Amino acid sequence: MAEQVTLFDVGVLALLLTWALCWPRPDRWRTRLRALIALSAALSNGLMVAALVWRGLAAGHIPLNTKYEFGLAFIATSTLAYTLIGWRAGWAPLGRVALIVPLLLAVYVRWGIPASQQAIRPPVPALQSIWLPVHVIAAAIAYGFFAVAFGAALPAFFTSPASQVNAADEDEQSGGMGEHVADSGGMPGHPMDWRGTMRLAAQWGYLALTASLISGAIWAQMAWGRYWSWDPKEVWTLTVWLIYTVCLHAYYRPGWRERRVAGLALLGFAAVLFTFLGIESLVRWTAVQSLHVF
Amino acid sequence: MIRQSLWWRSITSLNVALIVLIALAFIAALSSLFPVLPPDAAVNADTRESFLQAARDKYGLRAELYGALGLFNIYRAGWFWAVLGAAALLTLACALNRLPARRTGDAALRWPRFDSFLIHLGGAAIIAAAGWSTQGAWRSDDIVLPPGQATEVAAAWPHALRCDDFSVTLYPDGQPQDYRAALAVLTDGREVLKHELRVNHPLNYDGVGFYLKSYGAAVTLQATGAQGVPLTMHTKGHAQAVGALTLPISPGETHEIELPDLGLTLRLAPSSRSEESLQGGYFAEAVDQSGETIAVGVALPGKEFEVGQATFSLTQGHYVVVQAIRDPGFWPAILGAVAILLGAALRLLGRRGSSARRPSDG
Repeated sequence: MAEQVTLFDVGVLALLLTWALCWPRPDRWRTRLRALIALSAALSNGLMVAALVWRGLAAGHIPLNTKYEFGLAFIATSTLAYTLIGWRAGWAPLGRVALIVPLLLAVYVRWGIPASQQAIRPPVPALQSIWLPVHVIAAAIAYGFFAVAFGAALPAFFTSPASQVNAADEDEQSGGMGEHVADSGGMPGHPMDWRGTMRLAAQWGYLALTASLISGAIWAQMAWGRYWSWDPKEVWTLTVWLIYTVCLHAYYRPGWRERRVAGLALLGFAAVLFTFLGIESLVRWTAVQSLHVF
Repeated sequence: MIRQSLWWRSITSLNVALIVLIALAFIAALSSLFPVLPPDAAVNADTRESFLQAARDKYGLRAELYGALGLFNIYRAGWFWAVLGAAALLTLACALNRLPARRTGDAALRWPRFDSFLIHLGGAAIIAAAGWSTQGAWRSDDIVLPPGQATEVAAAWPHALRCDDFSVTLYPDGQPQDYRAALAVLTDGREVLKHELRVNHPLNYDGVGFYLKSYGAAVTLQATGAQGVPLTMHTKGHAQAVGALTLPISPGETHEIELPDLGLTLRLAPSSRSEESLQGGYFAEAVDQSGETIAVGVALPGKEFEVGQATFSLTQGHYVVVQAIRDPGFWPAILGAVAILLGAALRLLGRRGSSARRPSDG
């Protein structure tokens, strides 16, 4: 346990360093800084994954049973998604917002979850299924990409397309954007492609969330004979899925492609956070039974 | 051409798609904010009244309004399924709109929007499958399988189940780590299949799935009269049995077993507070029809005891509780979801270069 916590803490430090590296705006060594950001993000991700693996080895089972463990996975997938997509928006501008999510999650997981709930808990028979890791890992990957979509949607929402060119961002756009800048209309020296980045992250998240819903349905059918039971967590996962479905459709709607799509992505991520953090309170309030409350 | 008509363009338009999707997202979120009427409330007035009273306590006068709007029963409300049905039809229309078309001068059919076709077809399939599950699924009540006794499951399923063995392993803190029941399927009294039933490992036979729900400690009482003739026994809540009667162990509860052959009632009360242990045996008391106690003592598992000319013995074991389910909508729903997954993957991985093109419809 102690080693796992150490790996986690060092991973958070690497994450904090990555975020800090996103703020300087140097003139000369910006290429090296981007490489450093990417390296630091990958290191943070690797340490988070190592913390989970270490915990799994100590527990003797795949450590995805509790909110604490899912929180670790969520942080790991957020940094992974940023590592995979950061190049799309020049690393630093995206990282300034997107990396706040795993940082706040790390604070919550480390200090917000009571120590008693951070302990390793052996899996009850219903959790002993090959579909559990598939379901939970897919959900964590989806949440990670949605966090990055949030990181792109926030500036897209608050920045009008005409005013997106500014000295701060322009230096970031001159490299690392690749062919997909042209794909979404942004070019070096042109407005920052927040919407294209947001859409790409949302598409990957949507794919993973769909996989999570499928694997969860198969698991529920195997365990309880009911692939869908309108459990509050299921309902909110469906709500998240529907919001991102709207978001991905709205991208094609004339007049919606600018701020409204970004607004939908923000709403979608608010629903993601509620699904992760708020279901227990909702279940207590409505007195509805849930299989997803730990 | 039907696709060129105004109504077809309207129902397959992006605006209609957005309205329906936003409505579904709103309904889904709304539905989670209210307690849900138990499934048996439709047939059990007590359950319904108990639920509504709890709702009145929680919401006051608003409970009547919420109830009238169907907010306690959204997933079974007609308007909810009407919205879902409309969504299915619109999604199917969008899928049909993406069928391959032969362009003028082209020899081969072109299917440039196959990914989108898959996604929309999958969406329609999921809603249809959900409706099929809601209308066509069958779920039994809890079926208690006593150790070693064949039990009929349902009139529509021409077989019986027998639990031949049960084992449970526990974690050090007493939580169950694993439990498994060795089941046999019997047809006309003949064993046709053996299956080890565990959580996540259901038994599927002749169109019905059996799921292990719970288990508990049980004791089997065997009773014979003079010259070893099996005695008839019955107790409240259990079917009449001849020779052997299996009872769940309930701490603090007294079982009253009537023995009409002897004109006696045998009262058994566990001496232990633990459901898992019969080390302390049972306090046993035999009472005649006038209510007078004629024998009293402690009955231990594996040891015979006598009351008059009758001989009794107790055997410790476990009963298991299973549920039988037949749900025709499961695989269609999964196939629909897989179609969406494939379509989304194709769109993301295969058409990124053209993904920013705006389609003319939803």
